[in-house]
Amino acid sequence: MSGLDGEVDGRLDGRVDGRADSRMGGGVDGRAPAPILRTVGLGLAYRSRWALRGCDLEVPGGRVVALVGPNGAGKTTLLHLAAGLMRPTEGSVEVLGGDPAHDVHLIGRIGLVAQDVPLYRSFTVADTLRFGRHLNPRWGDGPVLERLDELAIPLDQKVGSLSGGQRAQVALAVALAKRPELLLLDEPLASLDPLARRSLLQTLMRAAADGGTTIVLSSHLLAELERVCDHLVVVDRGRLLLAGDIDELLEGHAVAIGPSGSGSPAGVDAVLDEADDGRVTTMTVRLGGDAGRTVIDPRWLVQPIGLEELVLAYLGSRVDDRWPGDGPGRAPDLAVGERIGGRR
Amino acid sequence: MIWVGWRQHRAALIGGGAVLAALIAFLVISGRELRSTFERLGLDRCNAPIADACPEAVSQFERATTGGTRLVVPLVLAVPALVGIFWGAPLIARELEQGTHRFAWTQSVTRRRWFFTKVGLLVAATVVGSLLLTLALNWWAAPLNDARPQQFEAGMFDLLGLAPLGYGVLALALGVAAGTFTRRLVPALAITLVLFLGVRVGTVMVLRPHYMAPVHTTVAFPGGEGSDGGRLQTPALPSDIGWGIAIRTISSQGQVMSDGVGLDYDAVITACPEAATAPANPALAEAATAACVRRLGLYVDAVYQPADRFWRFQVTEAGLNLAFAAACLGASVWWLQRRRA
Repeated sequence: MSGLDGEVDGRLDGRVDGRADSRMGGGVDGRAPAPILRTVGLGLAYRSRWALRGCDLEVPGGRVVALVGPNGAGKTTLLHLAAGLMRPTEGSVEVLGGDPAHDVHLIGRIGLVAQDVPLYRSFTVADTLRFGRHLNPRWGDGPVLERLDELAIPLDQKVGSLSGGQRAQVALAVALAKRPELLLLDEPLASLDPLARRSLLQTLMRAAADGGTTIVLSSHLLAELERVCDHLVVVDRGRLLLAGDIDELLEGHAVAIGPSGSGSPAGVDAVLDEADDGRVTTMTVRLGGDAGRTVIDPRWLVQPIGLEELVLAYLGSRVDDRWPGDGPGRAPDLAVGERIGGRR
Repeated sequence: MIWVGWRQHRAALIGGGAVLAALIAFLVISGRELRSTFERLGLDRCNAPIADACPEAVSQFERATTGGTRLVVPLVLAVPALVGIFWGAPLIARELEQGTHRFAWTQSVTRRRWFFTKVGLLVAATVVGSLLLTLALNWWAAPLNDARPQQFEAGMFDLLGLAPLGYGVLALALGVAAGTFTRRLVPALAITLVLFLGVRVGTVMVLRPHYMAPVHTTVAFPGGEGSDGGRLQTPALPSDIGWGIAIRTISSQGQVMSDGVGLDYDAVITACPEAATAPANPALAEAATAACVRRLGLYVDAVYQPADRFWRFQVTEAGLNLAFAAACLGASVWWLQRRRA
């Protein structure tokens, strides 16, 4: 078992590196690629409550995006809007240059694995794939059949009798067989055991590398997405808090430690959070423009920030208490990651 | 696309087919019994109209077959309700409840097409099933209608012609709409049942008598001549009555003496106390009753639909049901298209 773990781990890490390289290549060109997903002032209200509002987001092509926020933050709403399952109450959402809620051909180019992996439980795996083949003009299930075979998921088994991990693989297989240009996954890892998570992420990363598909994965746990994603979107209470390539976000933020009561160091754009124990102040800061991403102040010790700290600082900067629609236990989930501040 | 619908609903379709086959088998067995009773009582040798030629044999026949008839009529009336509950209500409700509509709606297919594929398949199955059932019912009911024409009467009317088809499709559509709007299977089932029974009863009680203005005639009582041993001789009703909506005996003062043709003894006594004084003497009783009828000026007031309007009524009712069904399906697809997933 441990041998398999190691192997999977190795492959995953390889993928991450490869992806990062290709993205850097794109950046060197200096041309910003057309966004795959763009929202302008996007809002959606359920009766009187706004599930999402004022969301201006651009996701460039080829990214693997972590969509992170506490439960009820608006992640599912954003994904459903992008998949054409809902129409915006205000603003607009544009995917691959079109409106997904009104263009059925566009839907064929978007894959969605919805929360809790809804599939017809009485269908066999083969029926499920056949369902997809009948309903999608763009369909290529060769690679996914290979992958299902590799995972030893029998095609003649009923979907309802598969394990959670296998079912997620089947749902992902149908989404991938559409050969989507944008693949959206809503909490795909939520109910899976660690081995199944790894296996699903492996399938996903392989597809990303092979097809250049842009992938958006949502989760309320950053830790489980952190090592496969290169782009981050943070939402909370229906608001977009932060979006950008992870490397740039990490470069643009820092933890500054300095003497108590001395204000904030020069060169800092914004202070996201601050803790003062009477002697020492620790603050999470957004650094100034591209030119001066350094703090030149000898009294301050400036350290690179970890991704979780960064996300928490943004979530915490808006709120002081707990998460909407959620027990108090949820926030610590995000706080007590395994590698706080320890991003490789 | 047809495959998709079939794969999704084949269990329901096969189950429905099995129920239909069992019903038809039951009707065949019951129909053969009806026929053998019909012949045993010699009704096949009576001249038409059989009810007039052999009244005794007809009432014997009806007594002998009432058990089977009582079973078949409600059973068959329940079939559309079952279609609504087992086919209609789960069709959309189960998808919305289990979230599988999100799976379906993110394939390259419009919601409208998805809806009409599923619904279309089941509507087609309902139409075919209803027609098969109607054929079997027509055959089954033939001896009953030969013995005493009753096609137009509530109960029998609903088994023949286009009625089962209209009710089947309507029940299906009500189920689909209930499931679409409630999004939950159990409430959808309950609403389907209540709505369908409401529509069913409302149609028969309220709407059906008014598809065409009924014929209204009055027939005077013969008034004594040939009255039989103190019993009131009743007038012959019009021969074209298909469905008697209100047949009443009324006095010349406009007082309703009874529902139906004739007076019962109590009514005679109340109206003409002198008739009660001489029951022992048949001749006196006869004279007293005849005098009473003359004095009251009794006549039969008949409001009815003529038998030859049967098909017009069948077409009207099926048309209403199908139009209502279409409205339900239209509202459902409109709602699905605008709703959030």
